[in-house]
Amino acid sequence: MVQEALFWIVVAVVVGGQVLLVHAAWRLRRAPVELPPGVPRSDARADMAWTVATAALTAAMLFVAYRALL
Amino acid sequence: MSERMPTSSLRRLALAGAAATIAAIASGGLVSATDSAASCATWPLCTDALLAPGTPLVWLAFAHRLLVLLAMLLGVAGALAALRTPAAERWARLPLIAAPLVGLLQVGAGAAMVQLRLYGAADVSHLAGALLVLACQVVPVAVLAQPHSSAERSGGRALRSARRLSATAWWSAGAIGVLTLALSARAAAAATAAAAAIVPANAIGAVAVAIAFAGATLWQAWRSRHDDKLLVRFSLAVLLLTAAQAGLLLLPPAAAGFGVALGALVWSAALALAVLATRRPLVDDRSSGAQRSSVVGGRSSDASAATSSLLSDYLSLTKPKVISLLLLTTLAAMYLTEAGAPSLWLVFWTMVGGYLAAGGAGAINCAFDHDIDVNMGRTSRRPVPSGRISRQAAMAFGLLLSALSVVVMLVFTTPLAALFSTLGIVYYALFYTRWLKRSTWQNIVIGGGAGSLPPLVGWTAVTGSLSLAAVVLFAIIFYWTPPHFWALALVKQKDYTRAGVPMLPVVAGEAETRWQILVYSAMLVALSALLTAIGAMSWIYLVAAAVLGALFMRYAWDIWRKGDQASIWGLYKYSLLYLALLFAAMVLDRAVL
Repeated sequence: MVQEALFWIVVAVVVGGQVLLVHAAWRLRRAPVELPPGVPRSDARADMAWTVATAALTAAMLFVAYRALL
Repeated sequence: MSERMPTSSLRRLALAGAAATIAAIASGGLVSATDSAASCATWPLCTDALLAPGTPLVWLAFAHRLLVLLAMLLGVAGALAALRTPAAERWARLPLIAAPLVGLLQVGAGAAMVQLRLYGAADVSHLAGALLVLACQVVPVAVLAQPHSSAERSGGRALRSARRLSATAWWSAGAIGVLTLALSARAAAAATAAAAAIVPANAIGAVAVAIAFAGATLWQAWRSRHDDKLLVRFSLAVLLLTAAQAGLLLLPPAAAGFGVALGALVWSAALALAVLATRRPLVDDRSSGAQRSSVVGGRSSDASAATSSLLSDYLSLTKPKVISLLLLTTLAAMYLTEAGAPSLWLVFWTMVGGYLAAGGAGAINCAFDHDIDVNMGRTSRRPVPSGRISRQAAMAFGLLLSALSVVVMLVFTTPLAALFSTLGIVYYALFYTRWLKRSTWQNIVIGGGAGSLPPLVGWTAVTGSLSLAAVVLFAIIFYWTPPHFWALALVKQKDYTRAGVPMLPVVAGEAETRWQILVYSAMLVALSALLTAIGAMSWIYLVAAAVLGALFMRYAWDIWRKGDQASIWGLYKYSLLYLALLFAAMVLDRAVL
């Protein structure tokens, strides 16, 4: 019971955090900042892909953890 | 409280307290070695035994309690004196004030062990508390004996060397403390008391680690503070005393307590050395290796100094400070598996293979990143950008170490551990260094995967397979990486801009970085609790993770709200401690429950 409650708290924080990070990546993609000379601009689509991939892998880990709890 | 005491009186009281504590520890060792604790089954006065005809065992146990009482009284006197000496430094006063409080806990633990008849457990956990009390008394003695020196007139290189020496000396003291406990734990290795397993009874490994750290301290002292005879000789004495402790392995395990007195003395000496290494004045920049060779005429051609400098440069290519934290997570993971404590040889070879892999990857990184390093103040004096070692030599060195690591891991551990270790090299040296670092602001987020692999190496070296708990360890370090490195990037923003590295503060600004640090920190702290949620850890770890995580969040919150240098540096430094303590808490949890 306590373990399950703890698990769902973890899920809530991680999901909330990932939503904020995806939103931040989207924000940076739409409004790129003026970069100092010599600093390369990263590929916005790749940045978004990295963010989503991280979120997806974390979600997969949490899913496996959920299965382990059952 | 109105009267003020001179610091000399405080020092004398602290010294007397330390001496009494050492005597109490020594007598405790004898009690353990002779198994005389069972002769005094009542606490605190041992009345039953004293009413009966006395035996040497009873008197020994009783004398130990008297010495503990004396140490406690002197500890209380020291604390009161510290309260009445506001002029003394904080590092002299606070430990002295803490000493009797730790001592009270220690006495309480001792009483519980007598009442519960956990005499075996007393050998390790009771000794750990006593060593902590001793530290609270030795550190003030050393602090009061050696006032802090001003380093204003010293150059950056000398200051860096001094910091390296100080860090090595403190690590050495820690390793010697663990060694003393491990040697004592030999007596309890066969006991059924669970608490006796808190420190792995792996005394041979502890001897090797302690001697390595003490040797490194001596080498660092000789290299960077050659002119400070006291420091060099003191370092040599600590090394010799530590080596002498190895002789205690010849004692039968049941008699391990006889060596506790020596352990307490070496622990005191190592702590005093660490304080001296931190506070002794720097002579000037001439004492540091490379400059010494060009400034001090006669010695400039000294072959041993040149060799030492070259070896030092090659060692620095492996980034030993970074590796120490990686190896700590590897080591901790080895003790967390369901397979139980690994063998000494497996631990040894996994550490060797891990160092070679991480060091090889670091050297390749130095070869590839010379164009970046030369533009950054933090890295411009590394051997490759400064021209002391060529790119080709650094690359060859890195490839050699990497190849050796593959061989060592394959031969002495498991194929899966070798695979993860090799993956770490490729991930860091190629994927991160050659691509991510130079192309995206997500560089250290995705690149953090390389630094997250060591626990998987340790875990699979023991079990040969992966499990969910191991993946969670990976995730914890993965989410720890962005707050840690972005804090550094916020401080070194100009360096990264000059070097053309698209770190988040450079391409998205400070406010965005501070915000993302907060978000990643929250996810890190949450994920640290996942180990308990899936049943891999108990409440002991959960409490530690919650406390450590709360502090982490406080630093992250301060960065987000204030964004000043103090809060940024605070998070950067605390994050290192956080990771080490979090993994230590895991090992403790697994050892106790």
